[in-house]
Amino acid sequence: MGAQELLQQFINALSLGSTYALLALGLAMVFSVMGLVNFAYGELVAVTGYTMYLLVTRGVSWWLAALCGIGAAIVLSLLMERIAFRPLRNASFLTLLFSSFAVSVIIQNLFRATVSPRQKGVPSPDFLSEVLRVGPLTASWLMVITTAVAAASLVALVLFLRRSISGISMRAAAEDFDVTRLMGVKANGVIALAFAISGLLAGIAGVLWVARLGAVAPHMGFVPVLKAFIATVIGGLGSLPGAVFGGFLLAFIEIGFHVILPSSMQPMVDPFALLIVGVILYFKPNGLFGGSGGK
Amino acid sequence: MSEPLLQLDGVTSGYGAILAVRDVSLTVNDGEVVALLGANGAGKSTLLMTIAGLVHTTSGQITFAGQRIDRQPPERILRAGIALTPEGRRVFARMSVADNLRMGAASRRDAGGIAADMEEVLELFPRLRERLKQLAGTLSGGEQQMLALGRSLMSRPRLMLLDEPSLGLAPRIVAQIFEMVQELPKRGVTVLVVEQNVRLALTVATRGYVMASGAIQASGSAAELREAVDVEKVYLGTEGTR
Repeated sequence: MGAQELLQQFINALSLGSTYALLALGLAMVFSVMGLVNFAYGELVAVTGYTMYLLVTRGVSWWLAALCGIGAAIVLSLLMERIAFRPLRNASFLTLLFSSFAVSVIIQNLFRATVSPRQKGVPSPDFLSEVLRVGPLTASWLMVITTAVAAASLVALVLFLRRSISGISMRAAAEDFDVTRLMGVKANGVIALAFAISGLLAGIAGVLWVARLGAVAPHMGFVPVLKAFIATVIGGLGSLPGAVFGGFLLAFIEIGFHVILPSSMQPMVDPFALLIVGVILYFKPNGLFGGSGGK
Repeated sequence: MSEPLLQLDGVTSGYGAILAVRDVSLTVNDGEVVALLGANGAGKSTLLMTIAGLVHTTSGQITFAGQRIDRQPPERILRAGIALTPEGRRVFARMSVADNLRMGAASRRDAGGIAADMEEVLELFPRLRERLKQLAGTLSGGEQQMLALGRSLMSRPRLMLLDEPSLGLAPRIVAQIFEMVQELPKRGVTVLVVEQNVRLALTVATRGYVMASGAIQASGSAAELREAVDVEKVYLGTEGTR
């Protein structure tokens, strides 16, 4: 494999990794403030897709539909918090986990019942699949936009977390929730904000996801939440930099296997990638950014 | 005499079935420094957390500045004017000193006032100014205690609840911190301080309460309590609580 091919695959991994990083951040955000792994997170990606499907097929422009899709993910995320998780605020980790599974199943079945159990197409704008050439390297506009949008989102989030008092409060809540309340920060407010940001990130990633697949299906949230979960575990549950790093690392591992495995073994990419993740966790059980214990 | 700033009437509280605080009544008047003394496990920390709202009362009343505050959430109580500086300091270790201080003012929206108070806190603790950008977790124990106190001051409290500010600190730092605690009433801040170092607490406090097994066992002026501690030492052969 030449240097050019290597560079090409590097670009592919960067694009995939930036989507994973966004997905992982949204999941880690909620975990860091309330210790919940929200497995219904994938349904936020799905609701973005379904909102886009409903609007695009009624003649609304793709871009407007994408914005509405992101809005829908934020609203659904806030509703989940209010209805499913707030009443369980002090419940155990497992109770919260099962509650999130329940929410996931309910929403998936709502898509089946109200839209269709089958996959539905969401045509993306044509230019997204057009190819951009820089010297010998190629990248679709979608890959370029994915990477740019993800990078911009990450920068915006970092600025928010560092500069604004709401962002600083979120970091504080992730470190010590009780003491953060002693500073006068409203527990419900900071948790709702975490869910809103989680929904925003899932929505942005959802638009990119739907643009890539060109279709929606009731179970479409499964792969994103799985990738996000794996990435956050690699990085260390609850660590935001860890989630970003884990997202990129997972993408590089996957693309790496994609490159080195022969075509007959391509279905083995995910199992092999999980094997590597297992090896990482064997040596660093709390993840790469997880420290030695607790959060 | 006007009504006390803080008044507890028959307060009972604790975690789940364990009642760490039983039927406690006490008062703190505006401008006082009051010491809360007692051995480890006497319920002093739980009492402070109950006042701050982190632990709920199961019975009794807490009144602050004429308002009932028992069973209110901690964020409401902070906004009413009570700041707890918790045991073990509990600064936000992965955040900078500056961000820790900003968190202290998280309940406020007056940017100008916050900046002025930040300046005041940094004048009070010049060490913190030198370390403004450093992560709080990298500070020494004494510096972390200064940060915890500064963070509490940033909310402009009327009453500060201090939980063991001398814990694990070198004597020189402890003296410095208690000097500052003694000055708090001049800044308009009333103090209720939990301290295992009885002698030290009674030098800065005007009055004190002694707790054991979750209940108040004795109370009096600092001078009276000092005498009682000496009596205990002489007749019971104990150092009291250290």
